Amino acid sequence: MTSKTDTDLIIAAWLSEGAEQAPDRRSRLALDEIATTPQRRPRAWPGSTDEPAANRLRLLAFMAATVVLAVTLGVAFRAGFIGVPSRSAIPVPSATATTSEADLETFVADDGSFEIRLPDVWRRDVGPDPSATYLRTATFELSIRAGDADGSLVTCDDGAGPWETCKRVTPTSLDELAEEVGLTSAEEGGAIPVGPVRSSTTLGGEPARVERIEAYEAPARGAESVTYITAMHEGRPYILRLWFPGADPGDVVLDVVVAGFQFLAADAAPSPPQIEQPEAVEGLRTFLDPNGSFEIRLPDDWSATVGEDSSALYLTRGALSMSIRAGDGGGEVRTCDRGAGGWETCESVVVADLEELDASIGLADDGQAFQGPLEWSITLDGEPATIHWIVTSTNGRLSAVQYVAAMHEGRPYVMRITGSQRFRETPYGMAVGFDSELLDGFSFLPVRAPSQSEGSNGFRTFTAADASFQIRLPEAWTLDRGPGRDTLYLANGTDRLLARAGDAEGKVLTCDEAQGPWEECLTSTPRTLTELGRDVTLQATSTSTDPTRSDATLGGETARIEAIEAAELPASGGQWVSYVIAMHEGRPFVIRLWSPGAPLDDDVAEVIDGFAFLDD
Amino acid sequence: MDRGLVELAQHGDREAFARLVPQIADRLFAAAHRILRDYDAAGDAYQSALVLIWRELPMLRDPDRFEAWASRVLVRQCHTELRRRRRQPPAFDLMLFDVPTADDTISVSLRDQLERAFSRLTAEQRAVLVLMYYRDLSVAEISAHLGISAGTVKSRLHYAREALRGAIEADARTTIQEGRPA
Repeated sequence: MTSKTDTDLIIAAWLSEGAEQAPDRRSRLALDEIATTPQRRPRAWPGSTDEPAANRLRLLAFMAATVVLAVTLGVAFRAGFIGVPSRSAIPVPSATATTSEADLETFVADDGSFEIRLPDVWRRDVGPDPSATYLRTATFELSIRAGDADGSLVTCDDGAGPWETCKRVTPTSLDELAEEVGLTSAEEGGAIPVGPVRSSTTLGGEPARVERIEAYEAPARGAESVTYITAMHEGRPYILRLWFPGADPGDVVLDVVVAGFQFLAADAAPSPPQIEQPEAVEGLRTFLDPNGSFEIRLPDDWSATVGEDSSALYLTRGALSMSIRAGDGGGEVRTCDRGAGGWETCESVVVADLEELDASIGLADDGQAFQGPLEWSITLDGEPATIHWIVTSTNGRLSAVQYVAAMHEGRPYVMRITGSQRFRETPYGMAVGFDSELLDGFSFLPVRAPSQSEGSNGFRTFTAADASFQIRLPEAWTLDRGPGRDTLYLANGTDRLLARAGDAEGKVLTCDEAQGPWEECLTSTPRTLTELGRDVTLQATSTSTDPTRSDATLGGETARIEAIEAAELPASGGQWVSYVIAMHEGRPFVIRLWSPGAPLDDDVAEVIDGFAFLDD
Repeated sequence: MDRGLVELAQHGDREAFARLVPQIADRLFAAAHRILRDYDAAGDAYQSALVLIWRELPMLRDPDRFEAWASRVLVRQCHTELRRRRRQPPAFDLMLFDVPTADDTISVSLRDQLERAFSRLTAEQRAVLVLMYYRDLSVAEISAHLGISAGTVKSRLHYAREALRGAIEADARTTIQEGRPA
């Protein structure tokens, strides 16, 4: 049996471990936010002290006074002594924002249904509902939800207190929606709410309701408040929920949120193509590679997130994050976006086998390594694979970076897992690392590649790697190779054709390499054909003709043709470039033809005739 | 603590507040790290606590009690952070290994048991333990820091301490069964 003294000593020794210094970055971030954060001045209960218990009594007194005032006002109103207020409690925000445009950041919903511009102290957050948009500052939390195709949505993830209920609703009007938001004045377990207080505002040009509640969770947790803004737009319900760990969030932040919110019109904001994710099964969820090269099944509290590389799959769960990349058929793959420290480097490599891939994983001991780097062999979905692993210690905190490298059908695969992680058994003993069960759910999928049919009646049909479109062309055209994954490259003698669809985020690279100063290759994430056209515009120069532009129809969609004739003197001679661009179901499509020998008018006509979008 | 700086900050002087921060930063962060047992979570709680401290500072009636009051705000933010992170549960069970420490009497398995027991405590219970064992504060001082009665401090301390004591005893039993030196 352990004595009391031993217990106290052990607890004290154990609690003595840990960081002693506050990270400067955190202090700086807080001071940045404070620069635009107003202070709250005493107002509601003037005798407020620093003692929660005393405040609680004052809060009760305040509530009682509020009730008396409300009754008095009600009587007066009914008696005709007081007119209807001419202004809502939450003012409609004006365009005169105090924050400069440069300090604002725009967050767009994954389904493209809205965007919100907020000061740059706001950042994306992760929450349990993949259909919701989560944002936060150091203190405020904002979740925004738009109804699904049936007009159904969940009001919140979990209630902040007994006075807030979360449920799925399918409202058909703003009144119904506002009524479904589950704030009540119920007191339970020491949580004393003030409100809900209701008012009206305008959200993105639509009438909206505001509902706010402030509660005090006695005795220790302090005050918190929840504000809902609800609106309907084109029959679709929208709920914004703002949570603040204090009694009175003030109207400033609410005004900023309301002012920054904008519905995106259905025609201008189509849903970006979504990667179809299978339903969760028995607590598991399957995530598909954006390029269809693999899938991974994980516990369903993992969620997909957005990263720098649209060809990678990014996943997160708590403090863990994972990126998985499949290289192309030429063996090219990028190992990571950026290194976590001096011990990790990222680069794009071209490898032929696992040995070369292993040599490309950029972990090295730069003097900060706590353990590793070490390697050991495993099997990943039946393929030989290697775990590369390093643990670093910074400010007393251990964190691990682990890679899994594998080859499958000539393609390299790189999985990178990071985060502060606990300890597990490794071939080298106990170490910080990640449970191998993570790898059990990984499966390679049959590699997709552009395809061509056999020639028939002088034509052959080419199908994109992601099966999003096909083009029937004279059989003189054949499949060609190019640097872009999931791009259809064709060749006909010296003529070249590139055809590609936007990726899962609706992003498309307009060309691989500009042929001259009159052409520019841009990464475009357009919402409309006009926006796409802006990014593929050819520019007249001293060595080119003026570009020509015309309208066309591609696979039933409105399309635009851009063409230019240029001469690279003295060596390259004349050349012709034509683009055919279109939007289909929110996804951009770019076809680029290039010829060093002749105008492309006939080729463009053949492409337009033979092109078809492949839906589902 | 510089009372003058606190008063200036209370009246909206951001520069004064920026000079106050270094005076409390390390103590607040160290407490958050021990309460939350996670560097990133502690950073989030610490950062949001600073913003709240600034925002609520005019409500503080006695500038001399600034640090205790700030600790209370921090504990509240730790509670919030715990709740937020529980919505995104940690990926794996706790597993520990020998981190070099000043006191090598804490074995891997004991640390594991302590982490498990600690993870089941509320932020408020953890705060009492941290203030008692790490900050060496008395019950009366903890009471003032957290704005709760001495009786509440004692009951939380009792519960939390018992939970950890159970963990220590469980480890001792395992050690004996496995024939390892205790």
